[in-house]
Amino acid sequence: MSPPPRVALRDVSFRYAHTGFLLEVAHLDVLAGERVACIGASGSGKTTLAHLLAGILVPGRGRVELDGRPFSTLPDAARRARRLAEIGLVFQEFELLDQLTVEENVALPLHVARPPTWDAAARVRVAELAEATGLGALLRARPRRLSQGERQRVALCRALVTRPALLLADEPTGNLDPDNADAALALLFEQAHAVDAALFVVTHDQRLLERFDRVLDMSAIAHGSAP
Amino acid sequence: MKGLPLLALRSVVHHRTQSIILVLCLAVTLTIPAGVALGLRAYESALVARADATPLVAGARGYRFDLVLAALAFRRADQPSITWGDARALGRDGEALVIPLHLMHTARGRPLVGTGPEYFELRGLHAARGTLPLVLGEAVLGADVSDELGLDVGDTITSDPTGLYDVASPGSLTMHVSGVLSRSGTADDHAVFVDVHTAWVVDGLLHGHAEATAVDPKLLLGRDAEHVAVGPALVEEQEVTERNLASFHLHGDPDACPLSALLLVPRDRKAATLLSARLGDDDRLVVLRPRDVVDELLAYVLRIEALVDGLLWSLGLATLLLVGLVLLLSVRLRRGEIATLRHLGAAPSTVVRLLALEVALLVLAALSLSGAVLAVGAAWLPDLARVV
Repeated sequence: MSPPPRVALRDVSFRYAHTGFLLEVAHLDVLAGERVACIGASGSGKTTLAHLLAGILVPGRGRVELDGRPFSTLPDAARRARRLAEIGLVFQEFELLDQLTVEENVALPLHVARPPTWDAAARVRVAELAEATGLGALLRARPRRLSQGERQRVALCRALVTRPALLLADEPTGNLDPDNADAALALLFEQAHAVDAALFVVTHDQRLLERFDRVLDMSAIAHGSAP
Repeated sequence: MKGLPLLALRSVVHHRTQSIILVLCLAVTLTIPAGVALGLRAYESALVARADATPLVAGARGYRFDLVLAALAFRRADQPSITWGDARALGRDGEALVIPLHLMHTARGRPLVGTGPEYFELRGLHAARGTLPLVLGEAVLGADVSDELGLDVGDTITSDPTGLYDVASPGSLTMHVSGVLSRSGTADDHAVFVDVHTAWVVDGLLHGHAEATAVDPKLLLGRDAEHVAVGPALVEEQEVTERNLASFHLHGDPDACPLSALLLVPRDRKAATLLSARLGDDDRLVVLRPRDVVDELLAYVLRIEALVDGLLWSLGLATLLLVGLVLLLSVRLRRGEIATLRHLGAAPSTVVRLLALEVALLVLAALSLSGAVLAVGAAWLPDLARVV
C-alpha cells in the first residue's frame, strides 16, 4: 500500500466574504519529496490555495489532509500547532523581524511554540542550517544589514528549522535577481530534499518551472470566480 | 532567555525611542504621587515627633502656627517678641522649667538660636566634639552646619548683619565655635546655638567697649553724676575675647531683653493645666500644646494633599490613556509582524501574551526608575522635613 500524500485537497471550496471571490479545487495531492510549482494569473487564487494547504485559511466545504490525517477540520489550536510543527512557510517579502538577530529569526517558530522548544539541540540545528545556507557568519546580524539574497536564505532557514513535512513558498524568488533566484531555488530544493519535505512553490517565474517535478496551472486544477 | 520573554525584550529594545518615552511617562505618573505621599509622611512624622518631644510652648499672642513652628524648627516669622521678664515670671513658682528661645538672627544663613543649657538636655543633644557654649561669645554648631560650612571647634562664625545700610544698627558678632553637636536628624542639625546672652549681644543690647571714663575726651558728649554719654565714634567690640569679656554689660533692665518663645517643661500634668489656665486670660502671652497645633496644621496639609492627590490621579489617568493609545497605535503599526507570527502558527493568545509582556517590561522599567528616583529623593527627605 502506497503511503498517503503529504498533503491532499478533496473537493475544497473557499470564498472570501469581503470580496466574494470563490476558489474551488476538486482534487490535489502533493507527495513526500515531490517538488510542485503552482502558476497562474494574478488573482487566480495561488496564494489562497497555499494558505488553504497551510491551514491559514479553512475551506467552507471539503477537506485538507496532512499525511493522511484530517487537518482543515481540526480545531483552531490543534491546526495551528500542526502548522507550527509540520509546515514550513516562506513568504515573498520574507517577513523577518528586524528586532531579532538572524539566529533568533530562524528560531522564531521554536520561540512561539507552547512551550518554547528552543534548547541546545535547536541551537545546533539552527547553526547547521546557517552553515548549509552560507549564513554561518551572520547569526548575530540583524536582518536590515543583510542583502536580499541573505534575507531570503534566513526566511528559508526559518521555514526548515522544525524539519517540516510540507514546505510552502509563496513567490520565494519574486524579490531576487535571476542569479540569486536560481541559487535560492537550488537551496530550497536541497534543503527540502534533506528533510524529505513536499515542496509547493507559488511562482510567476516561467524560467524556473522546468526544474520542478510537476507544474500546476491554476486554470487547470481550480475554478476561481469573481462575484 | 527564550520564548516570549526574549521576543518581548527584543521588541522593547528595538523600539527604544518609543519605549523610553513610555517608561518616562509611566515613571513620572508613578513617582510624583508616591513622592508627594512619601514627602508628606516624612514631614508629618518629623513634625509630630518634634511636637511630641516639646510639652508646651509659650510666646506672644499672634499666629499660633508661626509661634509653634518657630519654637520647633527655628522658622523665623514676624512674631511679636516676649521678654526675659516674662520667662522669669513663668518660672518663678517652680511649676515648670522655662527654656528661653531667641530666634531673631542668623549666622551665615543658618538660624542663630539663643537659649540655655536646659535646651540641650530637653532635646537630648550633646557635643560630639568640644563643649556646649559655656561663656559669652561661644557657639555650638549643628552637625549639618559644621559639615556644610566646614567649621569645627576652634573656628569662628559670624552673625549676619541685621541692617547692612543702617550705621546705627549693631554690627556682626564673631563667635568662637566651642563645639559641634551630635547629629539628631532634626532642625537642630541646621542651627547655630549660643547662650541667650550672646544673642542679646548680637541684638546690640549687651555690648562691650573701652571704659567711657578712660577714652579720649573728644568722644565724650556729656557727663553728669550718674551717666556718661559717648559719641558713635566709640567702636563697640565685635568679638568676645578673654581680654574684653569683662567689659560686656547691659544698659537698662535685663527683664526687658527680648525673646522669641519659651519652651515649658511642666513638673506634671497638673502644672501644665495650671500654666495654661493662668495664661488663658492673658492678653499678651499664650501657652500652646505643640501637638495640638501640629495636628491642626496637618489637617490643613492633608486636605491639600487630598486635593493634590485628586489632580495627580486625573493626570495619571490621562497619562495612562495616552500610553494606551500609543501602544494601540504601535500594535497597528506592527500588524505585519503580528501577521507573520500568526501565519507561522502562533496562537492569538500567544500574540496577546507577547504584547502584555512588552507592557509588563515597560511597567517594570518605569517602576525601577521610579523606585530609584524615590530612593534618591528619600535621602533628601530629612532636609525636606527640616525645612518645617
